[in-house]
Amino acid sequence: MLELATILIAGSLLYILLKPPAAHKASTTQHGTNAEQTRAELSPVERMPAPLSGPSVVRHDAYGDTKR
Amino acid sequence: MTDAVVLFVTIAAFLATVVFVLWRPKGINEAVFASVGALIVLATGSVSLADLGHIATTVSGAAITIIATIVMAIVLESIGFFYWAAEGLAARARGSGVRLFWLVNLLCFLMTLFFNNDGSILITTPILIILLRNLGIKPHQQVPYLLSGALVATASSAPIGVSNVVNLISMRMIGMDLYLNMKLMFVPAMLGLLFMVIAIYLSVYKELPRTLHQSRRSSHASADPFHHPLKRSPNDPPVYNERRMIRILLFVFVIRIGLFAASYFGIPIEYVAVAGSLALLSWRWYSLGTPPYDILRKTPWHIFVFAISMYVVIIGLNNVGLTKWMIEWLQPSITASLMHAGFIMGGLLTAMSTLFNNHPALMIGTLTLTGMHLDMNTLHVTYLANVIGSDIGSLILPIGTLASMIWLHLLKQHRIKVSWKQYVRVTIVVIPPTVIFTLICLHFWTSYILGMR
Repeated sequence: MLELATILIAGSLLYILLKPPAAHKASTTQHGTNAEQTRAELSPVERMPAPLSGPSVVRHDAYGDTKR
Repeated sequence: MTDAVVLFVTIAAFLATVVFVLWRPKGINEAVFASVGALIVLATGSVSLADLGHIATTVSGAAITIIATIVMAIVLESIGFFYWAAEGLAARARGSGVRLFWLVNLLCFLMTLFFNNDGSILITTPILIILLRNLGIKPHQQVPYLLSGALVATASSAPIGVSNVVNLISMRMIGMDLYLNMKLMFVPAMLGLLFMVIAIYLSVYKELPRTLHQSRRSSHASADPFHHPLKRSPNDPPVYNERRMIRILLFVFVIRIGLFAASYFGIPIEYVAVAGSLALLSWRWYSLGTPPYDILRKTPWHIFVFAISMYVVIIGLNNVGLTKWMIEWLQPSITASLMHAGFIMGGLLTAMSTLFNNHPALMIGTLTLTGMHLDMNTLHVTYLANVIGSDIGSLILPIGTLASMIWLHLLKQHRIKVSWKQYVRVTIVVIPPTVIFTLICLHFWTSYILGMR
């Protein structure tokens, strides 16, 4: 019984400790996938889909402007 | 071989093994030296095949439990549990590095109560690595969190008998039940743990960052200018499905309860651990399409080789008369007073565990106590002093426990370098005072509970 009680108490406390708080969860997971969230954080230029031909990565020049 | 030659070669092999394990010339893994020492001891014949079978059974029990926990950890990793937990912990730290320190230690303590010391290390270390990287904490500032977490996770197996496989075996050898173990040990060990965390805090607090940055879920995307925002990289955190994760966590919880039920009904807990692991691996293969071969790659086999080898060396010493000699040497002091008994056994187990790992050390310590024909109360108190030396005192060097060796292995896998020097710089000032303090608490508490002096 002692073991069971220990496991139950420790398990419950762990869940409370690790579960992200509601406010935090809303701010980090409301956009669903990581890729979608990253996309939402980008500037309109960066958010444009990559062209079908030519370089497919977003680069920045020495002044910080976005180039494709 | 004559008895004198066997005695000489066994002692020489033991001393050479300890020297090389501590020295580790050219960074060669300690398991290599331990296995050479074990082969020499086997060649002398001081360890019989029957002894070898007994050692294999003892170590394989611990190894199966550890591998089962590795399986749980890998499945939890694949469903994004570590990222989920790291986020929760980062949110609760509310931007304070000091608050994060206490939360990390609380996490490691609870995880040890829930699994055991090895399981706690296997699950909390990746969480902490992800958490500290996401918070952008500098490498030198990560070490205090990782180190204190590892020390607390290992030492937290002292208050409750079930949190450590070795403690369970030794407890059965001296005929102590879990309830009595907890009644006599919980309060002193908890006070000792508190003392230890405060001591660690005082020794590392200058290195802790005062404020933390906001947790970054996609550290890879923000760090790599060539990272395509719509394309997932292997370094990206997994996208987790919270409902599925809760289901898996509940399953892990049921396996843990199953281990308890198995031990209650006398079924070997390894059976339940293996069945649960197979179920989890099958689920992962079916749902996520990941075959189970990575378990073989991710299991730290060299640690099991080290554990078996050190056992062989120590059992060889035992068979040439170590335990007999220890009984003759220690019995007068142990029977003199309970205070003497606790300090002598606690100190001896600290030294033995630090030099050749706490598994064989606790075994030898328990055999010594059972050979002394002590009265029941003295036997129980000295056994608990042994556990303090074995669970807390053993932390002075990383080879003291399998858990701390697993911890170093995990850090190496994640390319985090913590040298023995960095480790010992903290443990040498924290562990000896903690052992002394815990032994004092044990003395006063058991004197109060058992009504003896």
